[in-house]
Amino acid sequence: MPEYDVKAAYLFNFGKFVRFTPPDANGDRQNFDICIVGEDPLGATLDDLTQNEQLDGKPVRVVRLKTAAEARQCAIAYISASEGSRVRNDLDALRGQPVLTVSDSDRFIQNGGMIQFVTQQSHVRFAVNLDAVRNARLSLSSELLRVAISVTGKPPAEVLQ
Amino acid sequence: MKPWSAQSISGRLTALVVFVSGIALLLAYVSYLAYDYYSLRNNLIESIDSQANLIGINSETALLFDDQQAAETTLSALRGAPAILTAEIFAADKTPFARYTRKGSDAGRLIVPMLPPGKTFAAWIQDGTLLVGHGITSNGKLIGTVYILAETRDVVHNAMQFGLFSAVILVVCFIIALLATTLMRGSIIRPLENLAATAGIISRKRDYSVRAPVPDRRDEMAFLAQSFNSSRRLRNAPRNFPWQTASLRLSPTPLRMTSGDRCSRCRILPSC
Repeated sequence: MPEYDVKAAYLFNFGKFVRFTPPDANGDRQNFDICIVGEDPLGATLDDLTQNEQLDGKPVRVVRLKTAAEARQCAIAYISASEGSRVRNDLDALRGQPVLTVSDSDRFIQNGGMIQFVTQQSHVRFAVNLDAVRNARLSLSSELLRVAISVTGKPPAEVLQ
Repeated sequence: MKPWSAQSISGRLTALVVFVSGIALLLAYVSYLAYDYYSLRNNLIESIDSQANLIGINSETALLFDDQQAAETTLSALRGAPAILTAEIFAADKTPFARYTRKGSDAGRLIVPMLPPGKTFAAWIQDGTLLVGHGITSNGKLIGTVYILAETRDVVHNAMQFGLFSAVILVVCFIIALLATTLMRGSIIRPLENLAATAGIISRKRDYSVRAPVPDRRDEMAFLAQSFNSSRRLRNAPRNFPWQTASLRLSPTPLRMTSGDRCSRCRILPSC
């Protein structure tokens, strides 16, 4: 399976294991938006995967955005590698917002991102930064953390079981 | 009279009770044995299925994020269940994803995914093994299947233990029934034996003064003994009552119970 098809599937699957705390943090949203900031390497795969799907009781939409500032209403923001040096600014724009940030950019975790895709032995894996997750008042399921290649930072008070 | 003679009423009564109680006990034994085996088998299926369900729940992320090592770690928890020979997780496209094989078991036994489409559970029993297939779902969609192959040896062993224990109880019950029959048959047979003994004395000694003891109760045996004694009185009656003997000897039709007989019977029998 092509690498970006796997990443598209993972991006959608992350939505199953993220919880917004307090619960009304996602309450104002009408849809569960998975936003792609920058150039879209995922193509139609993500659209196909999310068609007629629901997450957190809301219909899933794939939204393509030019800037991270527009992604504040998204549930998940995938920051494309095309953002390059702008990744840090993108993360600053979303800091403190209940948005799960995901990217395959190098040093994404170190820059304050939450989940970073890592390719290891031809397998797509991911690393998690729990500090960034906690600061955004999000929770990740312990099941998700179990399959992460690495988990850094202090876990939030209530890691989902 | 020999109590165990097959020709005697006593012997036949005992044989009847032994036969009836034996058949009843045997039917109950076979029924309980079948029920026990069925229950044990269902319990094993439920137990294995609940383990498959747990494996499935804990393998959801492993399947979603293609983490075979995590799935194998989950499967390794089955080490605590010695009856499980092999367990295997298959992806939604039926490709093998992760496998566990009990140490020392036949590692060559392959599991072929055969869960019917649309079903999330199925169980097959074959050649002393049980194969349970359980679907793994995420957001209501099938993302994989876990199969667990377990031995049914414990079911057979437990059923045999139950069968042996029940057989001992059955034999004890049978002996008790036999003893109870031996003890209780006297109340039925003794008056008959007394009557037969009285008839034997009369036959041998021509002593019509002998009376059969009448049981102190109101049943057919008491009626029979009383009627027997009454017939003896009739036989001892003086010859100047020719109508009696004539009526007995010359009756052209078989003797039937008259209304007077019925009345005398009714004096004894409460059911009359």
